[in-house]
Amino acid sequence: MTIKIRLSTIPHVLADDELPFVLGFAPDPRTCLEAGGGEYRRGIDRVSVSWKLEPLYLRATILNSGGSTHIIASSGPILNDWWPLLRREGGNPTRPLLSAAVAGRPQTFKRDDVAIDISIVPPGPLFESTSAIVGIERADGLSDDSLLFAHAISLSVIKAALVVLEEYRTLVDPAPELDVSADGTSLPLSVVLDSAHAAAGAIDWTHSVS
Amino acid sequence: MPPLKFLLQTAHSPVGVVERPSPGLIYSHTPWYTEVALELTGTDAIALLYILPKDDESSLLAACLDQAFEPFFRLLTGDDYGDAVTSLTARHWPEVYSMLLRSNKVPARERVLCNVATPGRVQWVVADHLVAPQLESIRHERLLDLIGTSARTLLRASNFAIELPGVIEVLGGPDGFTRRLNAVTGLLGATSSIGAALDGGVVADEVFGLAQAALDAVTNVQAIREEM
Repeated sequence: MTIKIRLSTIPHVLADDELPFVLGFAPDPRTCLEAGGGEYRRGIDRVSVSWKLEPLYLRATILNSGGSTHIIASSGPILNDWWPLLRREGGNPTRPLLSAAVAGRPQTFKRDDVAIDISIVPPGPLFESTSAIVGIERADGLSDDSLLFAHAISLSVIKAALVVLEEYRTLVDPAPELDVSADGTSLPLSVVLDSAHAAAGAIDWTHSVS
Repeated sequence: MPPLKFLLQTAHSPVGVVERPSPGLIYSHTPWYTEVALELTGTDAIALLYILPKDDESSLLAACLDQAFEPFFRLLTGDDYGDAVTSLTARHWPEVYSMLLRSNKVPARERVLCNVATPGRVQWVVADHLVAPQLESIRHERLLDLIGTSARTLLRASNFAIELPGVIEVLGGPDGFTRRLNAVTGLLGATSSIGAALDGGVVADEVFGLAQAALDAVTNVQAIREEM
């Protein structure tokens, strides 16, 4: 079956700066275009995709910025204060993705014959949170073609953002008894990290350490 | 910031970014604090200390007693007998009295006995003030000295009926003492709170044995150093 994702048919319901945390814990009540198992919603310069993985939702954003198009999955602000320490550490084999991020090296995620180089970037002027990002080359903004490409690979970026959360756990295991806010509710940090682990395990893209 | 772990443990799992500057010493750096784990030679105890950022230029080097000091502190501040218990403390435990007194001074520069607020709890700490350059190279002797003072304070406050001369009479003889002691410990469940702060499955009863072993180990090291 051919999947069709036309930008013009995606409901414009996103806020201007909306960049959701990779994990959703409640359904998004806003209207959407359902295509190929994903829910699509758009804003001025972005389109969000949400994949249902009961009881979770896995979310990424296709963002058009300055003529470039990127697929982004946010690991949230949980690591923001850790970056100075991670840079000081330099690298650690128990945290390959974060170590690569400190070194500025993209990491390859594969499924079947497809390989995608994904960068993990710390919070900065562009994004407030640690994010997994891949650029779409030769994309013509938010075109139907770039959305179709994003549809095919967005789960690889989502997986990278989830693996970052798994690696975060190596820093705080056992997770402190703290609550974090997500989707307007408050959840124990350990529940969020357990969910990230379960979701990462359910995605068949694999990360090969380099 | 997660709650601080109790000073003495029998097992330790480093968290955060780990650094091992010398054998038996582990620094675990987190955005909230640096946890310092020191194996106490000749004992089963691992002492945990914390470097807590205070402001841009200074930090606290702290040993956590969790709520173990709280019952005794309540006696110190009791309406009709607090002054007398305080007077006994000043006379017989000048170290504890001075630390409490200094904790009210701003800025405090010497060792203090005070409490810090962590999520969901208020924890007692014995703490030294550090200026920024000291952070890079805290002397081993300083760690041991703080551990010794903290273990001694724990043992005294937890066993004050025997350790503090005259306290039973001040609290109204055996009947009054028992009643007041039940009131403060019943409110707090102090011993169980210590157990909750332990990391290695240690039962609360073991804590005091660990504290005595830690105090002996620290005292021995200090005595050997003084002889050299």
